Amino acid sequence: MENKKIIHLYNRFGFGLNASEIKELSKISFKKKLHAETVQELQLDFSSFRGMDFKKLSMKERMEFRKKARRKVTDLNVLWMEQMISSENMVQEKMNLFWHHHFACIIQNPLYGVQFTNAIRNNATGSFRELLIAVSKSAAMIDFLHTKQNKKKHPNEDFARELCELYTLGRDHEYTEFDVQQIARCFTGWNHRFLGEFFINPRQYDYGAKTIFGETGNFDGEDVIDLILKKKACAQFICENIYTYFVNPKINTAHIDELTDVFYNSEYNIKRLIVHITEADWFYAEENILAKIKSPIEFLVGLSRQFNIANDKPLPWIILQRLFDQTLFKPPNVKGWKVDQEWIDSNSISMRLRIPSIILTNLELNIQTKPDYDNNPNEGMKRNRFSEKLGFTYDWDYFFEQNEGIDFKELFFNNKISPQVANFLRDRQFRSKKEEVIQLISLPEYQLI
Amino acid sequence: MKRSEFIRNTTLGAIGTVFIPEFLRGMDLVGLNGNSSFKKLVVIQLSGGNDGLNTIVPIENDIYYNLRPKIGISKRDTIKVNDTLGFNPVLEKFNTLYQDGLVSIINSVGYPNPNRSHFRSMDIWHTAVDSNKHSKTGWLGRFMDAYCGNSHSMLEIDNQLSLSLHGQIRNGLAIQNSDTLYKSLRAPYFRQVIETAQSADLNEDNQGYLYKTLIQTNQSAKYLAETHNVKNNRVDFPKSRLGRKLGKVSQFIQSGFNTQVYYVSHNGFDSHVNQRNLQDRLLKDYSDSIYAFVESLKKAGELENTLILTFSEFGRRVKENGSSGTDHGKANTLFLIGNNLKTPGIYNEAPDLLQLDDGDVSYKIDFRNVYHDIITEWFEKDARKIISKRFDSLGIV
Repeated sequence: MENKKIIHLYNRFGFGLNASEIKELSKISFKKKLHAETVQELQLDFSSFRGMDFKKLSMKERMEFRKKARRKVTDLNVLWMEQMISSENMVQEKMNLFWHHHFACIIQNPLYGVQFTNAIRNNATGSFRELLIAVSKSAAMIDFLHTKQNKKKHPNEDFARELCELYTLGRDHEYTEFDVQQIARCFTGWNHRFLGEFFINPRQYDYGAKTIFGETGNFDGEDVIDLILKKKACAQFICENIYTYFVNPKINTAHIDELTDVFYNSEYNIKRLIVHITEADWFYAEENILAKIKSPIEFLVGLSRQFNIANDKPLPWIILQRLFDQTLFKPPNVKGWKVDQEWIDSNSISMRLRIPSIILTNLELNIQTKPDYDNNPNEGMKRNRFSEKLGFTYDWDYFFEQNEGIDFKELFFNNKISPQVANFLRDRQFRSKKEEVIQLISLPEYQLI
Repeated sequence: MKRSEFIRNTTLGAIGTVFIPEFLRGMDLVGLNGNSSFKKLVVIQLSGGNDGLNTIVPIENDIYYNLRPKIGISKRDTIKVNDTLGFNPVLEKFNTLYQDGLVSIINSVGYPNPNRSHFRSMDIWHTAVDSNKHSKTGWLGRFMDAYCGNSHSMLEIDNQLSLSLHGQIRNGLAIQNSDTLYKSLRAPYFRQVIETAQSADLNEDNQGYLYKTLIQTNQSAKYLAETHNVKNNRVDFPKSRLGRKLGKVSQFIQSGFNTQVYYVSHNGFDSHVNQRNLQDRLLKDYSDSIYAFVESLKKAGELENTLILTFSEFGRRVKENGSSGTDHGKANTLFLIGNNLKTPGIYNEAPDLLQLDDGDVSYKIDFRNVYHDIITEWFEKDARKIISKRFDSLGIV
């Protein structure tokens, strides 16, 4: 495959490539690449929590416990960042990020965070049915959407509603308010134990008959998921989300219809769907090249992969995520993060343009982020003042080694630059290669993939 | 395009509009012509949940003293407001403003089905949608979409922008200083990038969008840096963070910025532990800073056109906890400050501690009613585009 296609392909189903990777990956098909990838779970060391009985702790000890737990969530976040930056399984990693975007679950318990991310990891390119069930049964989701509080006598519709609206069918699409109420009954009793294992509490479960989408039966939660998946509208909704995330923020209905058929007929096989996208000619159409604005994570991970950026402290990663409004495990609400143009406003644009040069020249970043509201609304009082060097390490030698012989405009912009930028660059004198690189990645074009 | 057309094109009806026609125009869109006699709103957010009951103390209420044996403020320590209420003693200067008829105190402000999470409750106050709904735009952002032409119509004195100031078409601007943003864009390199783009025919795709946003940001940044000509206040502000922020807002107003809303946060009110120390320190800072702010506006002849709203995302539980603090509660007290208030003083009766909502003050006035009145009666604009619920006037502004 030609460079232009390879770069585009892995901009979307990865975090961008360097010249060596372009060379390597142009030799094999996407299908083969995906086949060769493995699932990498995330694991944390919880030994320091062993033997602790939360119920027996004093107020002060509980606060300490929570503080420690918060730090573990941070560790998990950074572990994930580092994995996205270093992993060879870039398609898997991108899919993991997409599914966290789709299942925008706010997680404060590190144990449940590990369980949640691995539920996604193990199913990210497999069956959407299995993925949906695994996420629905995860302790993080059960806590987040109050499935725990969903009891036969007092149903809580939170999960039922979001299952339809956000995860499968789309708002008011082929379901009614009545369906939501009935669906909630099917998930009564769904619960998890302290360490996160799923169980159904028979005393809270509603064994009665339910009528969903006009069908009556003694449905349970998994039955509901099958009833939903039977609707082609569900395949279409997922395809639309995948399309706007991986192809173009503007929907092309003919393409969606094509994908919906593929996805639905393959019984929701995610791998089949994404392989189909990458094999479609329209995926590589000029209108799709550089048509997307990077999310903050895509921006940070792409930059870091290119320059081998690392940090031995977790905080700078968190500061950057918060600065750009995308913190892993912490979407703003159940509807999830911003998309595309929403990321860019007067506040973020200048910071986005400056961050690459700040990191790569180790400049000072004088910034104070807003308090982390859930965890510690008072923290802005003293902490979080970040008027110092971020302390990232980077490797220019690595960058130049990996990118020998490639035109940097091709590398960063897939050769798609507007006439004004082409003119602008033509007249520029660069004192060094490094200067050229920094100037290129400080252009607005670098925000696009 | 005519102004009326612009307004029609930029209301919420135009959700999803990619192209913003006035993007590349000059900054004269609001038609303020350097005249500063337009109405301004200054919002002060007490983040973390300020305890309203220890701000304005119900000095004759036994329930209050019974439930707060440790942190209750005794009657003789308070500053008398009336027969039943007294200010926290640190609010000495705030009391001066109050005695001068510049303050309205509105009790039991909240919303139905309250949420005790900081994050959610703050979101609800920012977006002004029902507590079971979510929105990506804030009430002030929607106001800006409908009635203002540029990002610096709304300034937050901060590094990051609050959800309140997020609109569908544009967002407000978060700045620490009037010139840092401009300086960063004045680096020779960015200046050249911007100049090149300004002379170019920008397309309507995302690439064009990025350049347009950059140009617009530069215009706002330039405007602020060049218009900021009042660099000293005639009044001394406290050296605290809040004092410095309000000192800046005062300079900006005096410089004649065509900014309609200023937004400032005062952080740290989450008083679960040793509340008295923490809250008293923050309230004193608030009281001293707001006093300096009002004095400086008065001297500059700007108080007439300025309304100050102070709120917190929720109040705190009536009963103190085991750590001499209080946990998250529900309805709270809200302040309006200005010299055009319709009902200065205590607007409505103090919270009824006999009728608690699960141990919390229950809400009597929907906060959106206050927003509604600010939009319709202070700014004299139609609130339908901004707040979906209908309200009658409270008769406050």
